[in-house]
Amino acid sequence: MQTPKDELVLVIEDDPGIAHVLETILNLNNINVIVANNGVLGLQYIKEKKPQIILCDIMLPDMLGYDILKIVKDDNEKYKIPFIFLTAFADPSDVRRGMNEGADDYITKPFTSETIIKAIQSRLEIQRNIESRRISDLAV
Amino acid sequence: MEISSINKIFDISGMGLLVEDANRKIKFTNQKFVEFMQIDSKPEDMVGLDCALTAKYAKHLFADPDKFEFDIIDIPKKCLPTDEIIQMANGSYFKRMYSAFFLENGSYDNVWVYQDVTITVEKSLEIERQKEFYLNILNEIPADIAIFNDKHKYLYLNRIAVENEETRNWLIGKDDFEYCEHKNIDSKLANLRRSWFNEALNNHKPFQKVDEVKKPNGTIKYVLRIFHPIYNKQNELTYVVGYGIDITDQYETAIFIENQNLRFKKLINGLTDGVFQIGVDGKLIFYNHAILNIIKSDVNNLLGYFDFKTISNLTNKSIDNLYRLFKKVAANQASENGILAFEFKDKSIKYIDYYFWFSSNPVDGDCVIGRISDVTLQKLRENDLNSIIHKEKELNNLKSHFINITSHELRTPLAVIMSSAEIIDMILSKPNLDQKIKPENYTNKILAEVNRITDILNDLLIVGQIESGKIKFKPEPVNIKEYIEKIVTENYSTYKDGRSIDYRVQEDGRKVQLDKNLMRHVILNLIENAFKYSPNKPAPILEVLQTANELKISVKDYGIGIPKKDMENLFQTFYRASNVGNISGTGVGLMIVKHAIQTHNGRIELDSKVGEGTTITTYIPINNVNDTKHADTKG
Repeated sequence: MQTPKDELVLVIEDDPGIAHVLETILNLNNINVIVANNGVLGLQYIKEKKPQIILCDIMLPDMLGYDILKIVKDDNEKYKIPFIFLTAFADPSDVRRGMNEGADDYITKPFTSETIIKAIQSRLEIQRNIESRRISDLAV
Repeated sequence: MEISSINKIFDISGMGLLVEDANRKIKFTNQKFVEFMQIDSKPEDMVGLDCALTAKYAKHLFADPDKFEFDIIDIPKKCLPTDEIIQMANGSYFKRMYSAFFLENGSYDNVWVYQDVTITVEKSLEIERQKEFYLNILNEIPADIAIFNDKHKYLYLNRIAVENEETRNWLIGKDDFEYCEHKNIDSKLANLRRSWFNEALNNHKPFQKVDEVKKPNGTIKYVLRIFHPIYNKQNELTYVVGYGIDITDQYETAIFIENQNLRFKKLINGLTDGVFQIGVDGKLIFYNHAILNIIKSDVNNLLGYFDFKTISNLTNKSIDNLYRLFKKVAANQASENGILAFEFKDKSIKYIDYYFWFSSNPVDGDCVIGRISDVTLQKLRENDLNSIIHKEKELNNLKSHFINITSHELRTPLAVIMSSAEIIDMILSKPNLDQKIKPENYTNKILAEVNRITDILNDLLIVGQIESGKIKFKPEPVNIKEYIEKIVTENYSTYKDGRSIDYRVQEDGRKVQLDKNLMRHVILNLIENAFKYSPNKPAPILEVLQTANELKISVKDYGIGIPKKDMENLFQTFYRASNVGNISGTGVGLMIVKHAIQTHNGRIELDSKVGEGTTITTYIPINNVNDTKHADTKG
């Protein structure tokens, strides 16, 4: 499945190793990626680059992934952006917390590229469907 | 003297008189006589009458009429004087005296005198009866009774004292020495009794003693022997009553009770537990020796004391607590148990396990009985145990925390390794890919992340070794400049965020004895921490200075700093400062640093201010190898 190049994925991850391999994997799958290595930069990119999907670590040097999620979901314009946690917190209670906070998906490290790609594509698919329905609604 | 005068004298004296001649014809009689014989004639009319006839006439008046009649005929035949008491039929008694009165012509007269002795006889009979009564009592009393004179000679013995009548009678007027000689037995007994006798006399009061008497069958009889001196009004000794009561049963019972008592006392005083009984008025009724130790008493005999304040060295507070418990037990008529802290005036403390209960008995009335045990040792052991358990729990919590952290810390490098491997796989399966994506970039990443995992595992391994005391100290001569530069360039030419460490080494060329492996952990941990806890801040500074005596290694950062409250615990295993926030870490680095420096006989200085930065400096003595060759490896 191909993804149009105009859809942008924001990766908020402070570990340069993870950020780099994610960027490579997504690029190899024709997905545009922008990486923020801390929370503040991540929020700035959300505002400026308008990503279609956000992949976010929980433990960031300046804030928690939960805080970024809350800011996104509290924003009337951006609350629809699919938000996926990508974290080393693998305890079921951590997963539940992430989902309760309103995340659309929760991926634990280590992960396979397939898990990442499928998670992103299925979220983008849903977004596209909603968008096209909205456009067709408008057409009527 | 005129006959009539004699008659009068006899009448006044209350005697009946009859004189007869040898032919038994009455020559003279008086008024009293005819009254006695109830003869209805005047005395002078009796003269010339036959005496035997008169006897026949009066014999019915006598209790034994035939004997009277016979005696009247018989007695004068013998011409011997008689004096006898005759019982009359009416119960009265007469004394009859006969005498032959010889005349000048060779003949003789029979003279009979009668006197009413009823009162005298009855009195003497009464006395006789009383004597018999008392003798019977004395003989029947189940005690041997003897009466002695002032010389300890027997005046009387009862049947119990000496059963054999012959011996009993023999003993009268004799003493125990004579008895012993008579019976051919040791005079020890006589000596002993004499001493008791003298004791009573000397003290003017009864003396008593338990006498052990061996019975013929070999068993022992216990006799309570009492010598009771009796004094008259002039305080002169009249006699001494000695009596002995067989108290074998009572004595054996008493001995049994005494032995029981002794056994009980030994038992109760042998206890290390204190036992006491206290009246509801607070008076101490009973206690054992252990009590004295437990309450640290200086008083020898506590009985009867009302107040623990005077008999113990307890503080007033402890005594008040104790009395509150007594009152509660007495008021509820129930029991109380638990553990009390006894505080003493010397500031020492004993922990006392107590059990108090209400009791009531006819002798002591309502009271509280208590059992107290000194459980200070157990309590201290329990405290130790609790603190060990607490420490163990804490350690366990820290370990689970560490496992969580470690698994979290391992997931990130594993993710990089996994993704890198997948990328390499993609590159290899799609040869027409972007030339910029080179497989070697990812094999390098895999290697770097494997090193990262290895470092975490090594830290873990070292902690395990330190905790189990298995870490080896292997010092060797090290060129400081080369050693430091190698570590820094290999690991921190650039940190992952792009910063580079600023380092200065100043040395004098001498080699220093170091365990290279342990010191590598020290330097890496200090630098890693300095970078990790100072994000977006100037790079840390490493300064190494070799002086004449010491090697100083100092790492300074401009990071978040360490709160004061955390400084003390910072070098403990798994402990992390409260302000680390989202910065990941296992909490073992500084523990390893501390251990390694201690192993080198060195010391650590910590200087930090929250928000400004931290400087950690370690000092290692140079030429430390001799005295630290096998240093204790426990942290």
